[in-house]
Amino acid sequence: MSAPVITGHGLVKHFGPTAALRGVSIDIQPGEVVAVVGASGSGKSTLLLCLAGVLRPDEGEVHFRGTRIDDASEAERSRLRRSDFGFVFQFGQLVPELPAIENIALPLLLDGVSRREAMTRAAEWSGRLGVDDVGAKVPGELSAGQQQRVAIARALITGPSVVFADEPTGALDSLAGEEVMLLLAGLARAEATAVVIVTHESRVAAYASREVLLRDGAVVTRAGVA
Amino acid sequence: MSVPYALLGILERGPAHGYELKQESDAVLGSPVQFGQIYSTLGRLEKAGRIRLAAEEPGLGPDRKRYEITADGVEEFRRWLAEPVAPEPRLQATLFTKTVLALQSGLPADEYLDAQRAAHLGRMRELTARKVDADISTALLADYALFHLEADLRWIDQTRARLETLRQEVTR
Amino acid sequence: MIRLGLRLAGRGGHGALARLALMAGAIGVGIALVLVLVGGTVGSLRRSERTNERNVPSQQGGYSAADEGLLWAPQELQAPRTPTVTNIAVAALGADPPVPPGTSGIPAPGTVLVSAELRRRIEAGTIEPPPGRVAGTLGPEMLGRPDDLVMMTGWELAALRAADPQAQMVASFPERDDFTNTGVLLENGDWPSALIGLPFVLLGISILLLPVLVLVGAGARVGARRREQRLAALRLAGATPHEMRVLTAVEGAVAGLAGSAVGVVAVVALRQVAIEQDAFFFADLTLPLLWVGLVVVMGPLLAAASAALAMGRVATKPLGPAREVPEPVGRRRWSVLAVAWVVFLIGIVATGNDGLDGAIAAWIVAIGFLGIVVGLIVAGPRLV
Repeated sequence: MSAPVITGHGLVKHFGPTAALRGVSIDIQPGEVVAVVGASGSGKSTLLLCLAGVLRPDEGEVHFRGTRIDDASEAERSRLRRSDFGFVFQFGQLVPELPAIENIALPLLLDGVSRREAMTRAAEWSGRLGVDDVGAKVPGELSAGQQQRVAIARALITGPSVVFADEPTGALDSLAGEEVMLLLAGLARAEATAVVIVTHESRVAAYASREVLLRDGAVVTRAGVA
Repeated sequence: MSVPYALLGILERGPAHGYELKQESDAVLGSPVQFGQIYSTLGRLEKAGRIRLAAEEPGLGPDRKRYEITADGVEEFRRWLAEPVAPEPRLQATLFTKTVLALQSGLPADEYLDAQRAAHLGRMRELTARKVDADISTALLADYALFHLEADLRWIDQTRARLETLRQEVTR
Repeated sequence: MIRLGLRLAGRGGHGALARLALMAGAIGVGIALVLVLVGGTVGSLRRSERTNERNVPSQQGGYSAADEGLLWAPQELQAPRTPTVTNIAVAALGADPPVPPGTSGIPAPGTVLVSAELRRRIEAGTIEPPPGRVAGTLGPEMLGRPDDLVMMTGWELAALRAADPQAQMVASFPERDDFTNTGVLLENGDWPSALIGLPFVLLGISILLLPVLVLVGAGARVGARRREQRLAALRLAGATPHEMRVLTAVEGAVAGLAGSAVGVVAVVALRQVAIEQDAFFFADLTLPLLWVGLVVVMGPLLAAASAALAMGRVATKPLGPAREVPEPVGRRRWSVLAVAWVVFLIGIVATGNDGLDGAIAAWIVAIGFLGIVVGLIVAGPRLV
């Protein structure tokens, strides 16, 4: 087994008096799809945000490709977000003022890629996600399913090592959710990108090769494929 | 299908008459079972060495026969509880039966439910893996099973969350 | 990065345009207020300095027969149903009396120098001709408003002494760089005794700043939710805190530049109106370019600074769904504003007494005003 791409070790996180994570450890192998499941309040989203370097754990460490990231500066972790990590959240993640195609290109533009190249790659990815016909529209003019596909394109355009998805189908109806998951799973497999997906839906968790079950901030079972 | 195990489960708590067995197995199985089926099942279980006749009470007729479980029977019953059912759509009341029986016997129903959950998810993973990069008919066929499995999982999660309340109710 | 910021600022749709308009309007009003109030006050002070110097020349005093100078006797002529005309009766003393500013020479006895407006009305017949021959025009040095009615009549020495025994003699008139500055009260004539009037100007400004604050607050509330979304999205896409500050500072600067433009245009327009009404000479209303430039630049700077400061908190907030309502201004920041306001008021009250206290009071006032500005910057992130 090769080295894990992301590891969290002994993660503890409090929000005021509430303990969201009480010592969680997890390894994500390159290219694998892992589902983090559990009831509301079990700490799933907190775990995801800690692994992604968005939240700093109170205790414990997070390593990305062997380098510790939980104690990195905000600037360094921001750079991780635009080159090595991709994000697909439930909603509220696209810049309302920019058209879809520029939203997709945003991480590249922030990383200093030339505008022309960024837009070319964005056009390619919007085609793969089936939103090239609405590229000029702003998020407010898109359906929820289209918005999520734009978000996936944005997450994948940088060729990330890991995509972090938090309830990606939460705001979608059954059919749109199905399309989104098929796209995400298929493209991640094609690009050999690891996916950590937080969900409370079993049919979404079924896209993962294994699941990590959280209850009250601790890992309960690890059901895996032999 | 679960009738023999329902009977074993009831007897696991202590010996009982045919009439008691009939009443309790009705409740546990979720639908009534014919007397005839009960007695024929009891016969088979006895022949297989899972149960035996307890000391007879003086009384009139076969209703007064009391059965008790054997060590074999206990082992078989527990094996059946711990082993996840082959996940297929519509398990009927089997999962319910297993849960109630386990609670009544003071056995770890939560573990059984967790194991069942894992088995269901494993099956769902297999089915879902078929869906990725597949054509629509393949995907929809898999989806049929997936939706039902999801329904089961929902029940499992709900029951898991309310296990304590259920335990108090069925062990009264 | 700046290009991205400009694009974000420009593409907001209705909400962002309204927000931009309100903030630009607020900054424009603020700048216009400052420039108009200060300019107006300075202009008035310059005006009244000139007329004071005219009516009571600083170099006048008693005299003896051997002195050389100009007898100087101003008087107000008021006839029923005619506007007031200021008449300065002058008589030469000695062989080489000083030439009054605004004239090419002392009017000979029996001749009159008249102001432009007075000459116009005499020629139009709307006012009685003065006693004596009109020999020339009085320049702006002798006037307050451009349309003042002023004349200077030449007298024989003995006649004037008899008519006005109290009249004093002016030995000399001080040099002036240009007509606006009498060169009497301050050595560098750019700032007449404005320090005396400035605290009241600042009081007026700060009172009028309240509607500005209201406008800024209203502008902040418009489109605040979408702004939160935008910031969260940028952070998620990997913008570093520094980059986010630059982006929002650009947005603030755009509003500030627009506001400066609005303010300057408003001030120039008002100045034109004032001059056309003959209320002020053009030179009266000019302020030092450096000072004007500073005020104009303050607009975009304040807006950009408060926008960038606002980033300090957003950059470290955990990501989550956008909040519905922006948080109200924190209590601590209001108290900073309140303290600055109190210091400011103390300064105003203290300035009531002139003399030694005046300079100190002016400093207190200046610090108090600065405190308000700082308080705005600190509280501004909550508002902006």
